[in-house]
Amino acid sequence: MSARTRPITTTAGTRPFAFSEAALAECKALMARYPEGRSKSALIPILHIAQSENDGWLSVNAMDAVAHVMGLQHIEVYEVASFYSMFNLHPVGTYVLDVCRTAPCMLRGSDDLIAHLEKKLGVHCGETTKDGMFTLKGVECLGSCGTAPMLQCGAGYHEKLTIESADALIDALRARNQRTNYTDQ
Amino acid sequence: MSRKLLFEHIATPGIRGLEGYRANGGYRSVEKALRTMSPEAVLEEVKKSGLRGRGGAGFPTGLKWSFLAKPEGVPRYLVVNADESEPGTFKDRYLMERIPHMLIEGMITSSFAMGAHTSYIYIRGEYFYVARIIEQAIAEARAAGWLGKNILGSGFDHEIHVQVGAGAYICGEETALLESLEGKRGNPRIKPPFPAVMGLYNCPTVVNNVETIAAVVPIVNDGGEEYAKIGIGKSAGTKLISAGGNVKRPGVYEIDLGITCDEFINSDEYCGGVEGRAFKAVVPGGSSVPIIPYELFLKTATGESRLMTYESLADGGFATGTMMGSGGFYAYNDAQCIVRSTWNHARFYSHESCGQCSPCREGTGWMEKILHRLEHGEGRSEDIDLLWDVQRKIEGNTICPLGDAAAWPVASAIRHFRDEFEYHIRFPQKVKDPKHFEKEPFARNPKFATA
Amino acid sequence: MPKVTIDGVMIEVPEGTTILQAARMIGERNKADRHVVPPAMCYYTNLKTSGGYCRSCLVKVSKGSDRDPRPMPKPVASCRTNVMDGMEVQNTTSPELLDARKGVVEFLLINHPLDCPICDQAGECHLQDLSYENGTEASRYEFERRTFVPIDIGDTIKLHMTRCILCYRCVKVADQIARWACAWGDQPRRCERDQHLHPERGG
Repeated sequence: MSARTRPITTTAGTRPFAFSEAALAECKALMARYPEGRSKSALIPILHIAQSENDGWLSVNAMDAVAHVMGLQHIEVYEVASFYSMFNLHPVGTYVLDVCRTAPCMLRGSDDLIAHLEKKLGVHCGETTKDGMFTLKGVECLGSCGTAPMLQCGAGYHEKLTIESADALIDALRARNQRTNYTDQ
Repeated sequence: MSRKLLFEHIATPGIRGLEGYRANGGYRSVEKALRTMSPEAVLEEVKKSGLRGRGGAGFPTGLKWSFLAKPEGVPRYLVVNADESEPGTFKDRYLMERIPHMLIEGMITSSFAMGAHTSYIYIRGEYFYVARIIEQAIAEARAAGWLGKNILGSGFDHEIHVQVGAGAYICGEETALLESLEGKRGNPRIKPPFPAVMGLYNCPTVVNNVETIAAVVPIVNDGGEEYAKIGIGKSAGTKLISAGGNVKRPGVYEIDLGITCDEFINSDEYCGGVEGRAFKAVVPGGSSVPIIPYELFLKTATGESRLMTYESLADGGFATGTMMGSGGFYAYNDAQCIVRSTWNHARFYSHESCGQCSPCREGTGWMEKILHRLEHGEGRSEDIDLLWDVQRKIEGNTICPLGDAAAWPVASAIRHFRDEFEYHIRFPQKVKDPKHFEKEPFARNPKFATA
Repeated sequence: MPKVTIDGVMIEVPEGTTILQAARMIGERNKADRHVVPPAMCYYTNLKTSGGYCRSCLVKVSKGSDRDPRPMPKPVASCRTNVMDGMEVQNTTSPELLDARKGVVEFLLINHPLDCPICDQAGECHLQDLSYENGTEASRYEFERRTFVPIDIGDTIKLHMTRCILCYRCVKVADQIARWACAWGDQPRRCERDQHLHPERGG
């Protein structure tokens, strides 16, 4: 935390990015659904698509591709991507575990859950396991307070977690070894 | 036993699909409004119902709609706020997940009243799977002619789009939501102008919570007067409360406004009391509202039974009362530490501050740091007064209500639980264990009972 | 034309004048009345939609207007609030307001380096002036301040975000005057996040 913060353009990677045909069509459809001249409204949905097509994070190239498709200045994309917590500006693991840590979850044991996951995975919140399988994130209220503690992985909510069920979830995910995204059907 | 207006059919099998919804009386309000009523008549029913915004502020819905500017040749929009990110609140997700057509029905009827031909549901990004459910329901409704051109031959056209966010509490603030919907950072706008005059794409816009719009369905079906008969005074109708924390039966409950707080928290119909231990404190309306001791939640400072209404929960002002807020209810048992919870709240607001105006951007981070120090046994004797002063200087001085929302939980925690803060300073070794009150609950010093 | 009274001094101003502009007009009209002028950091006359962010120009509106005399419930940003006929405003005559402003100044400085003696801007620095005139002698903030790696943004400008108080004036200058394609910058939603201004040359 005390490290001096660097701008995203120097940290968000350099590997190439291109939208798939299907994704490109989806982007065009999204842009067309707003009133004339308001296609910028599609930026957040399109960033979600780009993130799903780029292994779960937004590289500078991915954001630049979004800017190109939408006819926006690069900075218009960067400033939005850096605002929203669901957009990862650094590489993430195959699975991103968003563990809710806000007060209602805390009352029902999220501190213990997070401590357990940190120990089990050998990482702190915000870090990715060495094998690249899991990124553990502490996130703010996910609207699942009655079924706390919980975590989100991809589009799925995993609720009423216990140490045992969290372990089982981790093992099952590891065995499946297939990326999940927020946009998954 | 509270009436069920929104949840009457919530457990009916097949209610999520159009067929099941229609078989149980769904879309009647659209038929009634479009076939037999004028837009003004629909607005009149909503006004008569006394419905107040269910997102947190409690502003009268009919009045909000009546502010909508109607210049010639300019489109108007209805935007449904499904950002639901107030900690403790999960009622809208429950409703949208289980009975999505009710929201769509309410949107068509409400849009008819406003003369809006396009509406948007702005749903938080984490609810992607809920967005899929709604999108499917919209597709069903469109295929059946409830959406599109010339609905029911009335000449009224309507389209609904679902817009997902990407993780930002602030986008629940209506102008930040509109910014986000326009594809920008969720920075709240400086008001005036208000959205009713210049909202989405600079056009007149009404932003309403999911539950508010769903409540329009029974209001139009049964008439505003019927709805207004439920509840007490200016707290009319039913309200969804999402209960969490250390209650025995967490979940979403539809209550008649006006039941006693005691009934809500202790009866088996609702929360069912506390699990194992004793209650210590309650946050009745989402993390932004003041936390109050359990005893003050049950009875007001003057000894009257507190009721689940906007007015009764606020009785006593901030000194001894709290707020209805969004209905994100959570209760603390005596193993919980108020300082830890306040730190948790402060971290939340610091994380979620948009960074636009200085008191909130800088103040929320400062409060988080002081509270972190206190909770981890490194507090100093001047910290409580410092914290009090910092929250005081944030409150009321920011562009949007997030500053107030960040200040109130801190202020109320100090007001009612100052002894617990002092304990943290006096006994730093004892609070190093994060579960410091689990074995030995904190015994409250009566001298600090209430302000 | 609406009449507004600020700290007991009345002036008649054109429709659409902000409280800050009205106060400045009073100050120009008579130097002895300069105390009615609130300080301003993020507001800049020539920039559209500037102001409202730093909150140092907050004033108390003790009477909304002749038509609706209710006071405004919270202090308002004088740079973004238009006067109404009959409005009464308190700037230096409200002790609570001066206290709130002290808070704003303290907030603006908690993450700003206090190295004025070695800073090139010292002596002609609005923030320094603001602090002298409206702040407290010492900050109560003892935590580590946030810092950023400086960025070269072209041949002539080096950006030190560590010194930035996020007034957004540069963003608006770039956008409206220099006509760069420059938006909000990926400035922080929260403090520790990537934070820098990243203008690009464009249309």
